Amino acid sequence: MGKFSTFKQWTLDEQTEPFDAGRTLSSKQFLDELKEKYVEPARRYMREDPMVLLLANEDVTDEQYFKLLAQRWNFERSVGAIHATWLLNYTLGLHGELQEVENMEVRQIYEEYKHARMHEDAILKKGYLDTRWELHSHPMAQLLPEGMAFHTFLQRLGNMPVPVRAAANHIATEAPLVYWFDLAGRLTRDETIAGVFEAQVIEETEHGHIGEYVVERYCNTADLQAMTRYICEHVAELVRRHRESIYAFVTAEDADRLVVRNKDGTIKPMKHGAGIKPRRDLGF
Amino acid sequence: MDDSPSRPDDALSGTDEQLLSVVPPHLRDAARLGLTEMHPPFVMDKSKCIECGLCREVCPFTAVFLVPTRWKIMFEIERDRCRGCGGPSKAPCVRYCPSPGALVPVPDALVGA
Repeated sequence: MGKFSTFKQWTLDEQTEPFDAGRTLSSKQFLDELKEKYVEPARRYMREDPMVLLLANEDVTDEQYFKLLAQRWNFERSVGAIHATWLLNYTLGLHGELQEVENMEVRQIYEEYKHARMHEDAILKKGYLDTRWELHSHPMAQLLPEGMAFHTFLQRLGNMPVPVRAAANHIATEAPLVYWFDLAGRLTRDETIAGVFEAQVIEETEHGHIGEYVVERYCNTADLQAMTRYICEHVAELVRRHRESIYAFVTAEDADRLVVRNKDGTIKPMKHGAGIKPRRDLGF
Repeated sequence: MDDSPSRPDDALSGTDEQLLSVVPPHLRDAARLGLTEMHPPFVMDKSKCIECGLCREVCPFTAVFLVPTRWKIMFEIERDRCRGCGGPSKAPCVRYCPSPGALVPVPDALVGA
């Protein structure tokens, strides 16, 4: 091998080596292993997911709906941005391998941003905000620290082999979410918001299937499989923390932190526009 | 819309500061571009729409929405919000739409129907 040869870029280190099964599974067997570990438990877990139970409750407040939509809005954008970063690193195989994966990824970026825009529009339709751009600077719509950890970790996978990162996002993150969207869509009392969740079921299923395809076709060496196990383990933990943090954030009663108070402590009525004070005293 | 300025032209003739203070944020672009003249609203011809979403982004009145359905996420114009923006020759959604004929004004007879 030449001094700068890239023939074998990836080797296992002390962290990934424990995940080496000692033999190469067929990619189909390996996919089954991943699904068994990350997708099947989600099917059972989502029925008890506190957020789903909260949405099924009659007493969900507008504040809770808004926080959830705002967080999901930002998270969908974050996933789109992750895939946009990954697009920077596609080295096609000698026979054009991975070109189809790149195309699938382009499709997914469009869909992630479309989902984000759908959340924006639900927020407007519900009358939670006046304008779409308010969301960008709204304190309740910023990524939570756990979401940022997830985002940063996945974005840095951009220079990892394609099947590893595909498994991390599509199988450890998106495939389990399909059950969440399905349940949330059925159980949410508010029709507009239920529609937002329900409409994502098919496209998130598609994203899960992208992962299945990539793993089945390309995750076919022992090294790749060990790395994939290692990465998926971390991603699943980050997803769990993010899910829990969103629930904690949504159920915390902190909307009054946003209000502007008069000197005597009474609440100033809200004006539309973040930080812009319309002047009504000019006689128009 | 309740928040719309009653005399947007006056605002336009004033200084920028006056404009910012009088026109609500979401109508500012419309006033600046001279699009406040009412015109029959537009409807989308789904057979010609390519779902690029440009109309949604350029609409100064936030009248184009992504509407979730069980099988597809589609664009839709909310008729109550669409103000026609002075007709097809001026309306940004029509001007920027890449698919000719995808956005058409509702015939006068049907406005309010």
